[in-house]
Amino acid sequence: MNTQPTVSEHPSDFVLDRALADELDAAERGRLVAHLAQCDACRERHDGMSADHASFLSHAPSFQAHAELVKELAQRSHVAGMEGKRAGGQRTSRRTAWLALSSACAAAASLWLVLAKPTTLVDPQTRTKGSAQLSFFIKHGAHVTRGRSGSEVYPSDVLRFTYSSPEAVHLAIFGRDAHGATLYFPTQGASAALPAGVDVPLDFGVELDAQPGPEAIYGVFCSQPFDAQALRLRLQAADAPSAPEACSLRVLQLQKRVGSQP
Amino acid sequence: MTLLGADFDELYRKHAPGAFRRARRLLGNDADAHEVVHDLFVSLLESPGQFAGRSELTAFVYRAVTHACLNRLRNHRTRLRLLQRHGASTPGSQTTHGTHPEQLATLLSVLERMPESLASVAVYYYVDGLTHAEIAPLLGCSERHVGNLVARVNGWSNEEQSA
Repeated sequence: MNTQPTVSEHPSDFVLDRALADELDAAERGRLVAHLAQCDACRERHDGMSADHASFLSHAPSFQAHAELVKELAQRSHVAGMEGKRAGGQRTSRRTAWLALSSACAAAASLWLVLAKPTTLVDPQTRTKGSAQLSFFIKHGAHVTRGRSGSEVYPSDVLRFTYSSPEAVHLAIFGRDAHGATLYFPTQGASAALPAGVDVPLDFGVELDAQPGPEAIYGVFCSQPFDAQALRLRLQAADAPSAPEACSLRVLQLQKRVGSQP
Repeated sequence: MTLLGADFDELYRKHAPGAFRRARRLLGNDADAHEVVHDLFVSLLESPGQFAGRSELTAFVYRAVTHACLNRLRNHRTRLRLLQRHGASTPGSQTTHGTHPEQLATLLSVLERMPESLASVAVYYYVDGLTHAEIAPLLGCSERHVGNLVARVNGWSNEEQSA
């Protein structure tokens, strides 16, 4: 595709994208280099796009995480079903080993997932850029998408969580709906000690039940171990979690919906 | 070139940043742009045969991102959410990619109603700033036909404004 402008013409973003992807041939690259050498504006555009690329790759989830997730999902049907423990007796959402999802899992809910505002019970100073983050993927049928604010989820959808942290961290993840609070991760006792990493998948999934209504997912990140079960009881008794001091909190608000995806 | 046996991580590193930049420019926010990029590369991983090696991957990614974004803009609920986000921005302020929120809102409303064959041209020509020569291989047609399509975009827009 020879769409490269002459030396005197300003290159489009398409040309610069092709250059950044190493798709220009020698003649095209020569013309681009010659133009950039004499055009400050285009050189700034090129440098800006190059910096944006680097920034994206340093902050965005790695494709390796996506690839591993898809690979794991593909293996799902070959593994025997194994349901995880439920900490909240009234709940029907199920914590389950990620690689052991039964295709016969029935009860599920439809949820809305919304990244919520920080609660007032946690010091906002702990929510600095680069601090620990909780993310999730949604598996709907055979399709996997990254969850985000406003994502729609439906019965039998499965959520899988990943975390990112610039340093080793202690984490617990809770769910709370009208029936009460559930400790999703770890299943009992103290918080889980995790190494630093970016978009590190956690080895469990939550299959959504059929109970409509709002649900919140809380991820509590602390620098020191904490009693996750005690925190679940506090969450059970409160409208909003009270995270341990100097911990940070990530909240996903879910609104369960009834029915299947349109 | 085909994607069979390709190093997907390298593929992602080369093309995901540009795909994200374009998706964010069209959709106006990071969350939707990340979803478009994620869906695109997972789709490529699951069905590498969809890229038949007819052109460079940059061209393939341009087409795929354009198609995915236009589909999202045509989704009524997605469009309302995007418009609400843009509307909630401070008047006169600029997004991180330099486009005024009110301009984006206008663009979204126009692209949502425009026939898909014209909407793709409008994106390439008015949003990406590509030349007719660059658009032609993306659409698989001649430069002359691109010129005709751009003229039809203008005519359609004029009719919309006068309606």
